[in-house]
Amino acid sequence: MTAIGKLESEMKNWKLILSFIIIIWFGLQLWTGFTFRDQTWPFIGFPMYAHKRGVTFDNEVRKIVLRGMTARGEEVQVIPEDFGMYSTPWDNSVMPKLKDRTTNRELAARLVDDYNRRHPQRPPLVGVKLIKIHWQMTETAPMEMPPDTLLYYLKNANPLP
Amino acid sequence: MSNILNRLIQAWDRYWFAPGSLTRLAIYRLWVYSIILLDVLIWTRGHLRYAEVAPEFYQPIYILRLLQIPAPAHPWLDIVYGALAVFVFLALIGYKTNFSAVMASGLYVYWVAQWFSFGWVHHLHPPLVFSMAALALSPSGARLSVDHLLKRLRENHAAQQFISKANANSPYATWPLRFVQTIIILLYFLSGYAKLKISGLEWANGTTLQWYLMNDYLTFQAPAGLWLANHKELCILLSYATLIFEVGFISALFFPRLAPWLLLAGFSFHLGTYITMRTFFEFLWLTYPVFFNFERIGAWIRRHITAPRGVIKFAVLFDGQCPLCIRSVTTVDFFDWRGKFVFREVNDWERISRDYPGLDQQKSLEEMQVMIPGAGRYEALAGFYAFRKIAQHLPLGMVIWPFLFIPGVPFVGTRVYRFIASRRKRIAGAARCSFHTCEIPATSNQ
Repeated sequence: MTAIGKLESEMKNWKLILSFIIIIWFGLQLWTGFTFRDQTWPFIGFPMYAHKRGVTFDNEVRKIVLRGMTARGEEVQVIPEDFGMYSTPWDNSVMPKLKDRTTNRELAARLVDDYNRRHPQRPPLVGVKLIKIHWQMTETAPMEMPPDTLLYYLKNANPLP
Repeated sequence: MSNILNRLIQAWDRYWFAPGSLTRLAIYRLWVYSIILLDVLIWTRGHLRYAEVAPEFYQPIYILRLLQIPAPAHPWLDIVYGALAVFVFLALIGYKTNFSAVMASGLYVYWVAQWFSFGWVHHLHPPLVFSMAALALSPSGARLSVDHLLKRLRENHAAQQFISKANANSPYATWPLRFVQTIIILLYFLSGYAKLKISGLEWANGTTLQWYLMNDYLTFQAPAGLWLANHKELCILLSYATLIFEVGFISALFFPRLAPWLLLAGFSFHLGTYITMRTFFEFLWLTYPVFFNFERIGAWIRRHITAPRGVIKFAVLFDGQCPLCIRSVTTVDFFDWRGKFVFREVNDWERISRDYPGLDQQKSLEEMQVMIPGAGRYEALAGFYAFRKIAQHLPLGMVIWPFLFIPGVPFVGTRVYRFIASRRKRIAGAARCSFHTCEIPATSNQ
């Protein structure tokens, strides 16, 4: 085989390999895209912002926020970074556990200790509070509702009834 | 049947493997790896702190489960981070480009995947990650790279003469760009598809958009979001516009001429979501340049804005029998991205003396000359001053150019230049020898 012939043959082989890669790549992308998967990242679907909402269904917009409480009775804002976390993973990993009434007091106690250990220069926390801020969708515009307290944890104190 | 198959294969070959410009591909490499370097060094550097998050919150996504990679911890994550930064930088400058890009892609996938393994997966990294992977499998380092400079130096060294650069096409320069373009088009289409599949046209009932605006408002407090959420009719209109835009993006696949308009609409859309929802999707629109032909854009700018009467070219005269000179002009030619210089061997003295009457041959052999054209005349700069003129007109040279005017620098520079020039080796006459074995000292005229 001549040098040019060999080069052409190698080019054909490489084109074939690349073609397979392209087909498999798009196959995976279309499969995950049409089935809305995200755990298969970097091949994923895009169902973000895709779920419909209405005035009579899924009509509550809510945000759960955590507040810290100091010994002097002050309420302080705490953010995920105070615990070495970031907002979205925090919302998806820590918040669901905090909302779970069977486990949240234990986790709240650990968060308080963790905060005090990480921030010795700040006023120490003696408790945390979990508040639900929510708005209701109406026919014309969203309407703000009074906030609900989901968890009230104070060291050595009873939980909310 | 086989005829149809053959035509399909030919169409596939034409679409993905049509010869494309290596320079255009290299420009996209520079763009993508600049973004990744910024991302790693600045935007996501803080993710190193995930090594301190309690492992109980670690919910590895499939790729990390498959590879059985445990929760991030010190110092493993720090080592990965350091290696990632190094390989991204090497891929950016194009040193051992394919290897560096493969390593950078793999490490970046891990870097992002461990971040997504704490309960949340962001949807907009794929175009960037897939760009990195496609560039790793392509000749993206064949131009505008250290690899290319070293290759040219080797080639000119072996040929014992200066051979000017030339842009080249490759059948492998098109597919990475087409591939990323198609990914972006699919991403928009699949977003629109998801809305229609999950919610149907009811997604555009206005309340849905109001709900999402309020949802983001509770986190980011964008006043424009609250304002828009209180205008239901506008929300209905924008919802239909979003559906048409997202699903309609697929048309760019069949009518590429629509792409610039769709990209403009896309950027406006993302700007709108930033103003109202503080969601910018920057990792998506930052990959838009994959649609741009920077070479054509550059030529257009030169033709219409920066050099409407044509580029004024400076001639660099050098000793074509001096290995060091050949190496130097090869390097200058490599960095001459604006095409400001032409390179001529002094050894062709008959033509040189005709073009530049009055020029001293002996001086031209001793020091490199830059000829600056004027109205029917020319001005000659030699040695250090020629070097300074070159620095002024090279995009990267401009960084050092102002320092060459500091008092004392021309005095020292001139002497250093003469010292090096007087000790350089030369190839005698037609002798073919290695640059390192020619021991013939500088002579007078050839």
